[in-house]
Amino acid sequence: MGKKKKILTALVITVVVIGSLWLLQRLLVPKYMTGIVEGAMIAEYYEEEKDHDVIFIGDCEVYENFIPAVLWEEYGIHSFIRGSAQQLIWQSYYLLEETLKYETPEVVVFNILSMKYNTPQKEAYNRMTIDGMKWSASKIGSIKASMTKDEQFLDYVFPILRYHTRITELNRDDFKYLFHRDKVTFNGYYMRVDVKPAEDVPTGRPLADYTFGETAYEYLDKITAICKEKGVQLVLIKAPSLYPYWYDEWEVQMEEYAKKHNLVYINFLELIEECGLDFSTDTYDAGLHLNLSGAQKASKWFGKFLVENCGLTSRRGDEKLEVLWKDKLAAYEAEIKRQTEAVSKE
Amino acid sequence: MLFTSYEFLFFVLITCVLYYIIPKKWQWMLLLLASYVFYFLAGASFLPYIFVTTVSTYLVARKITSLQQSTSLYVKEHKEELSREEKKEYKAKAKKKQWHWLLFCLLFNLGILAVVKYTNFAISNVNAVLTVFGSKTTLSFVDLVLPLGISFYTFQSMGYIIDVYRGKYEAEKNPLRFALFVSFFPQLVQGPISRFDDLAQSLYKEHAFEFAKISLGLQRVLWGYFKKMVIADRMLIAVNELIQNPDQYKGAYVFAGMLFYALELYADFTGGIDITIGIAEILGIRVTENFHRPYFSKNIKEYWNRWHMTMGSWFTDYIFYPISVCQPMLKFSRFSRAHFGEFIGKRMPVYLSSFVVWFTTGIWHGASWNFIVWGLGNFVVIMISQELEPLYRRFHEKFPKAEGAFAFKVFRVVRTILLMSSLRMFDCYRNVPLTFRMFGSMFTTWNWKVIFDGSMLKLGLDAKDYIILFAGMLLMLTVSLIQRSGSVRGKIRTLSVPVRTILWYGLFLVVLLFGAYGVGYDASQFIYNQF
Amino acid sequence: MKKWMLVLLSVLTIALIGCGNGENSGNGENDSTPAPTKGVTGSENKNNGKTEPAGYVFEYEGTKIWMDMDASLVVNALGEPDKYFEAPSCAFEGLDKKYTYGSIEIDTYEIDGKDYVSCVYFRDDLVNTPEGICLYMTMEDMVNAYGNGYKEEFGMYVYEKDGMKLKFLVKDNEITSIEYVSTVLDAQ
Repeated sequence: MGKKKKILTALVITVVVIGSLWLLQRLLVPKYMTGIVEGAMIAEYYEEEKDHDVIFIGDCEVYENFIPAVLWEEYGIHSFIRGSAQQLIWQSYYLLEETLKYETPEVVVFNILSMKYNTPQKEAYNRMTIDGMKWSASKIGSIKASMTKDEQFLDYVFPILRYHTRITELNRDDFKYLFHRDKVTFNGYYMRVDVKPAEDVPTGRPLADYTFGETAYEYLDKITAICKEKGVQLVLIKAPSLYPYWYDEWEVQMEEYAKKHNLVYINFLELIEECGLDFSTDTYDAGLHLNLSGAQKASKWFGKFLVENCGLTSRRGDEKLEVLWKDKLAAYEAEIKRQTEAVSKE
Repeated sequence: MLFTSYEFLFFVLITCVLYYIIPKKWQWMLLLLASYVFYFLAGASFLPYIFVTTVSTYLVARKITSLQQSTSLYVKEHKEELSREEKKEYKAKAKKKQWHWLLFCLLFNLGILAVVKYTNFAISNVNAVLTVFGSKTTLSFVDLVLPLGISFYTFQSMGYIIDVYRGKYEAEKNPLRFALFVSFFPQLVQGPISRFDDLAQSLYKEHAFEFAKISLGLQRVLWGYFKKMVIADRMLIAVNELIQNPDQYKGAYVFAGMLFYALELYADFTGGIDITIGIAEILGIRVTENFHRPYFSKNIKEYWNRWHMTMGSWFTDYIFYPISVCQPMLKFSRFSRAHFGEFIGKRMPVYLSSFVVWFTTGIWHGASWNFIVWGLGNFVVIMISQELEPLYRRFHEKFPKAEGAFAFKVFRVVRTILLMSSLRMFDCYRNVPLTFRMFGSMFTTWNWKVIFDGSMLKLGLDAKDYIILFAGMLLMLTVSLIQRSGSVRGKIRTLSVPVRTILWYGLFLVVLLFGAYGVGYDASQFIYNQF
Repeated sequence: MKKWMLVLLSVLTIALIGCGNGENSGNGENDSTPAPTKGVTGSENKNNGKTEPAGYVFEYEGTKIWMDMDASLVVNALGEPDKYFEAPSCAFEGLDKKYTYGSIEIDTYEIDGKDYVSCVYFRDDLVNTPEGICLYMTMEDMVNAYGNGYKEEFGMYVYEKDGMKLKFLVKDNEITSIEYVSTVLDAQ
């Protein structure tokens, strides 16, 4: 074989090998398009027009309880939720850090339930939060802070190492969504219209120690600091979810923290009546998360608060945003219709 | 650092790249450095042990060689003056001195091995005896470090010092080179137990970068990972389930477990050795083979010549042979012939030597009665088959066609596998009585339907896993069959480039996709989910 | 020869001094089988719960309850609960259920569609452990019943046995909480 031919052969083999591995990896990573859709949430942000007034950061207590569409319709607030299931506070911090590289919103809203976790929790939740992020220093930071003891950094770099066992359980979605994804949220809001009244919600059992962990505080400090540095107003909230139980001892700590750092802190559990929430109709899972009607009420109250207290003004009339939201609202309404019909059929 | 960890792959990659970048005369020094880094990463507290063994063996070997040299020099220089008797006497005296040094070195190093490996085993036996005699006080166990690979490097060093004593070769002059022989990282954890005269030459030689050799080495490594990760580590899941819950899995389960373990152990051990030899090949170093398709053996004796070969030959050369020809044994031989008659008298010494060999082989594998009984089990089986030899001969005289018949060959292979697998049960269950009970349950608990009624799918493996295992086993069998007429890698090399590429890349993909590694992706493991 | 023996002994002693590091004692080699990597595809997913009583076993109205047991056995025996609450998990299928029966709460977790007991919690002092401890007793009572083999953190005294924990929260020398907990929940 001539030298030229040899080099050409090597080149062809390399391209084929790398190309096929890349394709295989795409095929094997979970698509999160049906069933568990929470894993697809984080990536949706990148396709957005990054010019938001408000960014929500947090776990399911933000993405199931607040609706950017309502904030736009009612108050002209352009917002987005960067949340995923069991999003731990360091993951929230790194997501915020990344988001603030793309844009500088007026307000960042952070839900503080994740203060209760001080150590890495579940690998699967880590993956759902982190896999969707684009590669950046923030993603690396998030991986390093989140890894449980059995996890390896390399598994994040090459997800095929993590998901290789799916080779025997591939489904139609894996092929359908090989090169694209559908949207599963409405600016980060995950919609549910069904109703399951809250009854017999358990109260909290006594804990040995109510103090939030050092790591949790460290990242809350970081969130506070980065918002200050960027000139963004930080609003801490505890969403109106009845369960997991929110202890009074925790509440005191958060109130003190907000006071000390001159932050706004809103505990929606104390505003249930003011928001008009009725847990016999406004939740789809007996008090853990709000359904559409509940989230609409919470969002209306919160939108008003943001306008009145955080100096946000309506951007209705902004041509570009109006065009953008016209489509978004249409999709949002269509989903309400689809789900309502599905529920009434049951 | 396990062979199957990312860290190990990274470590090997860095070592290999540096190995071919630096000046060739430094290559062996890099290997020494890498070996010590490898050992350090395994456990810093292990280092003093390997260091002490290396230094003591090096010094004593040098001493013995210098004694040998000065003796022959003295005899040469005083050729004229000394009478034959005087020469003989002088030589004997010198040999005795060497013997003392050798004994010291053996006692010292085997002493370390004995202390770290067997102290707690000894204590547990003393305690058992104390309890029998009604004593309420028992000795407490000591917390000892068991340095990684100590059985392997100690045996390798002791083989070396005995060879030097026997004058097989001179002691290595360079202490660092010798240190590399003891610590060469690919074989440090699980062997093979190399001989100095086999390994040293290629270990210290300068090696040029040769693409063909390196790709051959990589291929062997890949094959090793296939056996280890796709087969052994997958099979392990069911094996663990079966042997850790003996009350739950009796009868047919024991039989299944026995065969599963035979497959797992073979794939695990030979796979590990393939990785070791493959890495050495990448570095241009030839390491002795440790397996020769052992399951194809006609009988257990042959099996032991083909399984863990370097260990077997070590025991033959350094234990069986010396014991058989030592003075007390020769005396015993004469004594037994005189007192027990020719038939028994002839056998006694052989039996005794074999007994010692199998006892030590057993205890070398692990500090427990399980391994001792396992070793002695092998002894019994081998001795019985030796005694039955005339019977077999008569059978073959009567049925001369049997020898070549395919069915008979298969019968012997199956017999070997079943015999070895049932002995290996001692390796699996917690203690000796339990092992006997479990063995017995194969004949008393009649539950063979569990093999077919889906019970096997409840051991942690699903149908897909069994399909993968079965396919993997077929592939191993095919490779072994092809191997009988020469190197499989050699045969693949003669194929065209695209075919070769597809074959090796295909094997790589199989390891990547079907290897039982990493965090299993299964939502059901998330049993406690709270946001 | 004697000298050698002395040297040998002293070096062995020195070698021994280097020992005693508990962390490494588990790193034993098994010469014939190189330590295999932890299998993945099944080992941690496989869980049939505990079919036999294990750890500290609680008894309520004649029904034995132990951690990781099949929850349906308890629920069938105790009948309709006073209260029932279920918490779906975010993003994963599977419900954590809480049953309230008189003086106790029983929590369960779900694997492959089957529920297992993860916790028994005492709601009042009308119920006691088989060892005779109930709420509002003193720490001395606890130690008398269970011994000193506990681990303590922030006043939580934990007795671990066969993969489960019995937890007592003690405030001002008074037991304010009693829980039987499965360690399956501690995973990771």
